[in-house]
Amino acid sequence: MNRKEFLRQSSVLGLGAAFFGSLLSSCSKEYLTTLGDFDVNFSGDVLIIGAGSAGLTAGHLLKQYGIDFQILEASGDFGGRVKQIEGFADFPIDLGAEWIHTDPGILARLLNDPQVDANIDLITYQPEEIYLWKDDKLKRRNIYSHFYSEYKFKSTTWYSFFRDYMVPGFADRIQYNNPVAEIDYTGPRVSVRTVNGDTYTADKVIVTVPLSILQQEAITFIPGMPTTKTDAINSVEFPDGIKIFVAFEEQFYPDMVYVGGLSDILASNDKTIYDAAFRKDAEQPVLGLFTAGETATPYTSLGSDEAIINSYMDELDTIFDGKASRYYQRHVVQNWSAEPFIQGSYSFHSSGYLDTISTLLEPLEQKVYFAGEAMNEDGNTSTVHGAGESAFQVVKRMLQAG
Amino acid sequence: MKNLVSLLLLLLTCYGLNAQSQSEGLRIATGYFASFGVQPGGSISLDVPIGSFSKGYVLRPQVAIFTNPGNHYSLLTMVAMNRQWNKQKKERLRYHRLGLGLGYGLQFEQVGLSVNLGSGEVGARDRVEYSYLFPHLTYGYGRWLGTHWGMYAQLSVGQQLGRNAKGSALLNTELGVFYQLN
Repeated sequence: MNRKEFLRQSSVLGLGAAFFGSLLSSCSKEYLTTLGDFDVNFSGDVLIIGAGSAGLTAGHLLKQYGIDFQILEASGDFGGRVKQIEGFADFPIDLGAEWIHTDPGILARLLNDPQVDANIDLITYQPEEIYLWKDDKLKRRNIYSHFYSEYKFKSTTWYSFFRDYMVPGFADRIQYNNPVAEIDYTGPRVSVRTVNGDTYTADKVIVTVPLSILQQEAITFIPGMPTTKTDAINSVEFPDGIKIFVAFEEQFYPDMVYVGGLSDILASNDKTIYDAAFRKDAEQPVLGLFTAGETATPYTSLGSDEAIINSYMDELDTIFDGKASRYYQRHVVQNWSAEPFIQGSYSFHSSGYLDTISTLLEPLEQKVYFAGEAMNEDGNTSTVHGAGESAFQVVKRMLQAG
Repeated sequence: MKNLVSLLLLLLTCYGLNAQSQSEGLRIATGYFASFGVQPGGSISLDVPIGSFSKGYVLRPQVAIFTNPGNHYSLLTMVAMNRQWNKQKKERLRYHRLGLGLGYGLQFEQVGLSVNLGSGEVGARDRVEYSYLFPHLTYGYGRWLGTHWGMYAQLSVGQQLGRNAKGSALLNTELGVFYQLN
């Protein structure tokens, strides 16, 4: 469904708001515009493993359908790779996913609720002063600005989007600090045992943990997953990832410095140093580093945050002639590879990835389903909105299956 | 850039007296205009012979609009002095031209927007206006298809001067038709 269709249907269906609660189940196929028309054949309960973008979106949708559910989250907070820090600067900073890589109307499509009466301010993220750091030289490449444009939140974050518009609807259904150790789907109901020793049962389970957790077999499946599925899981790269933010007394850097050349850009070895306050309502100069893949490993392999920031500051001083140390105020390191329940950045799919995703999405005996940024059947992988969309896809599939 | 300008001036000088027979008169041209081939728009221009077309010099004032959807739209006025070479081939007159020009551009750039979380509709947009000068080189090719009209393609490349992002290059491509007014 394109945006125009969504708006048209949303405006029409908005007339039924007064009966929202009671009509969710019977009229859900009309209400859930983003999912399109389909028959709901399921009325049991669901356990969602993971409270990241996919898990939260799945819960949000199940609530709209009136399906009973619970979310088990391994860490002490929701969001997964969506995370923020407040108080570091005069604007909240996304420590994880930061950009909106698609049409900003995706925010409404994820909420899937025409009755939401709120607006959210975004910026058009199109850096104007762009440099390459290559061969120990800064090379101006402003021409790239003609080809690159995305969106970012202006004074909010991806985290606050979920916090303000999804989580309040089911905050009491999220169990924190409860990592899952085992999923047993041999019986009529799926049994889930956590590391803490708690056992939960449900008719269906949606697994939304990062692919790295599945690759490391941190969760035992009984019976084991088919070889085709484990092969697919292990065929996807889930490399290191890190973000660093440094606050400075004054801005001495351009909008963006891309470390490497065109070949690195094409190889997705992202390493970008950027003005994190670009077009934000902010006075505090903050320089961000985003890197995932081979370019992240030299940092993450250093171990401690102190070693990482020292290495990074040396690098900044080299690029900006010592100004980084001169104007340094404070920093924050978000080492995603060191997060125990994340352990990396995001999925890097290779060619033929749609077949891989199809295998990844295949449920186990119509009881255990999978969703997440690595498993978007439309190929929108490695993004927050892609993770959310995958939740739509799997919820629809699960409710149809009965 | 300086070397390129020098080369072009040399070419103009060398070929200055080689004008061939061709259709005379004022022409109007309109067509698809795209910056970098991906920022689509349209253009209208005049071909004004200096003396006559047979002398081989054409002044080309032009107005173009183009957009990067969701990001900016731009208005670009340009004027270029072209040296034109004509060639008769299979009863069809063709031309090549090289030129030097100067443009003035206004870019209305969307820097912020508001999204309604219920409908997904994009509401208020914050725009910033940039202006810039656009010194450029052009290359054009045209072919007569009828008594009074033909088609053309044109490239112009130069630099945006005066914008915040100083020195950003701009490459414009055009494809359209021209019509002889008299």
